[in-house]
Amino acid sequence: MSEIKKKTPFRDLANTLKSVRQKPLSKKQIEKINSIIKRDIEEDTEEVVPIKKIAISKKEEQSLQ
Amino acid sequence: MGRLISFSGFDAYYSKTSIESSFVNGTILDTNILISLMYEVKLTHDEIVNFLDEKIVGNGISCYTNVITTAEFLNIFRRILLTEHLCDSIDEFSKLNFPKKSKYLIKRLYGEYKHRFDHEKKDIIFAESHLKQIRDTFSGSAHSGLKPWPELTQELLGDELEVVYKAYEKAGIIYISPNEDNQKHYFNKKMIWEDTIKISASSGLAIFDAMILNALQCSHFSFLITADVDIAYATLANCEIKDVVVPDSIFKEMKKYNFKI
Repeated sequence: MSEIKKKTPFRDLANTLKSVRQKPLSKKQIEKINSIIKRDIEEDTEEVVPIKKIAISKKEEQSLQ
Repeated sequence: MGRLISFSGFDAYYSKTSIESSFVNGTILDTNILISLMYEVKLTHDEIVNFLDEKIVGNGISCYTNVITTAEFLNIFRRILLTEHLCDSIDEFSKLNFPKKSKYLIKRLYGEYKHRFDHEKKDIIFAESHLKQIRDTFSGSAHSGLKPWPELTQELLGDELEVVYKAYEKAGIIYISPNEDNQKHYFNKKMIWEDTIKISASSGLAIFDAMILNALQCSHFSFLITADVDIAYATLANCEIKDVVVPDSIFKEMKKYNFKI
């Protein structure tokens, strides 16, 4: 005779709450959030460009002119 | 009337009260009971989950909540999700590229909350005022007219809160309101503010908590389940309040007040 499985709706609810809390943001969500912030906030999130790199690109500009 | 029953004393209480002719096989769940389902680390988490599954569901007792408990449950989960997602951004391996001023504020607040957790065991859940401070660091530039925070919260909360509410319904928790025509049979008295105020005044209980006790008073149900010390205190202080069932730890804690239990 098979054993009747006891109903555990509150254990199931607790497990769902736990899994929602533990679920990390997906790669797609992170990309979307980063793009929203980059689009809207004129600030300091952009990658800092090393001074040497700026100097090189300025030289490149001059040579093109 | 006005009795406090411990989880371990519930079997004896139920076998006695459930044979009374006026007994209705249902109960109201207080917010703290629902909130305790969220914390695995809390001492009462397993005690409450097991009690609800074994003694309440096991005895076929239906669980009801009102507007206050449902709102408080969803609200606390919203704050938990926001806090945890925002704090993820300050992890050294996080790929979230939040503005520096946001990260700085989150880091500072997290430090303060962590200190309180370590010393006073207070949960790391940002207060509403702190969430607003963080929100303000996400303001768009003056001319952009864009609102990054609403889009951000949509990503962080949108689907998750819906999943939580569906799981809440799936657990068989029934939301009841005396204003719904098809739910009027759960109540034997009209819920009025004067009664809530009287309950609040009898022990200085918060109005939200007094509303939950008033819902019990106006319903056909014999008892409420809570993990809230203040509700337990209010029950013992007011002999007109119906019975309240609490975890054993709360029951023991109430002994220090020298009420006749």
